[in-house]
Amino acid sequence: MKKERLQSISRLAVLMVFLASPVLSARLDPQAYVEGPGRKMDNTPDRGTSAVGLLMGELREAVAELMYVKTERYLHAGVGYISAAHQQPTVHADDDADARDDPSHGHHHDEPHLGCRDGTPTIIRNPNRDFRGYVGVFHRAVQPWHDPSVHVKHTDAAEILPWYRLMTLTDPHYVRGYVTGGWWLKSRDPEQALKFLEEGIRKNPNAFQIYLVRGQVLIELARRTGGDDLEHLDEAALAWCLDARDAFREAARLGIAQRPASWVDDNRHDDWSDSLDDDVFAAARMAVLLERRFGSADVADNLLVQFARNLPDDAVLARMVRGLGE
Amino acid sequence: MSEANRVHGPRAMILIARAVMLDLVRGRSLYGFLALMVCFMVLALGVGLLGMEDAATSLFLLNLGMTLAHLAAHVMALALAVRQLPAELEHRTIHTLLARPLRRSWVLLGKWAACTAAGFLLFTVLLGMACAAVPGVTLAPPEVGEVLLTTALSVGVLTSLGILLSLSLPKGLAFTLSVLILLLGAPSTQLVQHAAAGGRLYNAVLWCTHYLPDFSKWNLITRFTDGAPVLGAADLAGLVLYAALFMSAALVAGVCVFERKAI
Repeated sequence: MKKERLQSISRLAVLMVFLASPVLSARLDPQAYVEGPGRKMDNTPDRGTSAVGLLMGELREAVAELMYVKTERYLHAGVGYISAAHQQPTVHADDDADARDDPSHGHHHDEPHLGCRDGTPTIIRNPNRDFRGYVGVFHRAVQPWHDPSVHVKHTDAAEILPWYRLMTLTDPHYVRGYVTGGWWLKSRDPEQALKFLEEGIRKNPNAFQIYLVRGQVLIELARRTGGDDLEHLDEAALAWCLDARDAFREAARLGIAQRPASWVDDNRHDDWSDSLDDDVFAAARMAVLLERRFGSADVADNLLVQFARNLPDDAVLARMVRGLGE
Repeated sequence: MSEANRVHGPRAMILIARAVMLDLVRGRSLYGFLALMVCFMVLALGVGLLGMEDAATSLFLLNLGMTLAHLAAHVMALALAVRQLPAELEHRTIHTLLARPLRRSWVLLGKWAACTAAGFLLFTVLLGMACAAVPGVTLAPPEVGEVLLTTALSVGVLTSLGILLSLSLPKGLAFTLSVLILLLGAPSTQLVQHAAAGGRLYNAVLWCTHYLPDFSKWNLITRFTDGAPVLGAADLAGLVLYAALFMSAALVAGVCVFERKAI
């Protein structure tokens, strides 16, 4: 009897100690170290923590890229129902006149072809050859494609916003997903855009493009709060503008630090591009302008000189510096 | 029954463990994992023959081999653990076993110890094979020691969890659930913590998520292939205590369930 009681007490003790175990668990983190090849991936500081992590990291980056391509394709040509053969028509010079005059434009019209719209054949089957029943009817009724002759017909992109969410969930270090998603979200719901971009910054603290778009979103919030009249901004709008100034300044600082030194001379580098250059220029100019407008003119001048020294190939900054002398 | 015929606890555990080991050797899964590691060795040696011998490739291969060994040891030990008691019950051999003057707790502990030892031994063998396949880089003896110790703890926690779950769930489900906790426990708790961040219940959620064992804490392989230093005595003791808490809780719960189970 005594032995059983002892046993029960010991089991209860184990249970009580286990209930207190989170105190220990929260303090144990053997993975908290900063060095090592698994942690030194460019722009993706936490992506690969092991061989398996590296392989899976490559996979999720590829999946996020595929989603991005899908959104781009949608924005440029509907949902991809236009036949690939007709997206870039290859008409021989000799046949050019005939092709233009031919009302069938290279395919047969002996059957009703509802997939042909504005002279653009699509891969959607015509009703006589469509086995998909109501799905086909639905497709033909909705006609979810754009005329490819209109290069980019921007909408508010509401229908593709979930893709940006999905691609950043798949790969939290997919900076382009945050940047483009935040930009599209800005016009619909700037506060949501701000949250989305702040999540991106938490996961990619060195991605200067996200800071840049964050600054743009903050300007949009200021515009919505205080209107376009910069002379009479209320307190809330002014706070947004000051936040935007800081965001642009941070973007410029990070961008300048990441810009390869050799870029000015040869404009060729695997990790840099003209569009990244444009982003750094934009961030630097906006930081200076907002500092001058809402902060101190002296600080703005110092910033301008500093940015112009670091970005000697930006003609706008150079002109602004010349303006200082005059 | 005379005292001479009485089977004492430790001796009973050894006898039961021996039977589990025999079960393992007679099964095919052990040889499957060995064959898998041989495939890895061929791959790693092939990479060496192709001339890809830089330090980064060697470290990547070593990490891959050690991770493979780590995962194989866990899966094999778990597969062994979840079938022990259900198989005894299913084949009714548990009656023969319990006809002896044995307490049920010793049966359970014997099986757990054997499964853990089997997993640890397999890991040691596979680790040796992985290191042999990537001759360019080696781990220092203290690092190997810490990896072996933490893997033994990790396997111990997993097998205790597997045995506990196998007493109340079907074998397949217990295995799947344990593997999910092994592989997705840490990411899913992080996801829950992230989702609850900023909410009123954040601290409560954070506390509760710590009741799910985080097996990544006992996996030091990437830490060492990344060149980070060995853990200090306090951290190591913390990991041992952390494992002991989960093992003891799972085993006590398992013993309670097993003792009340109608056979």
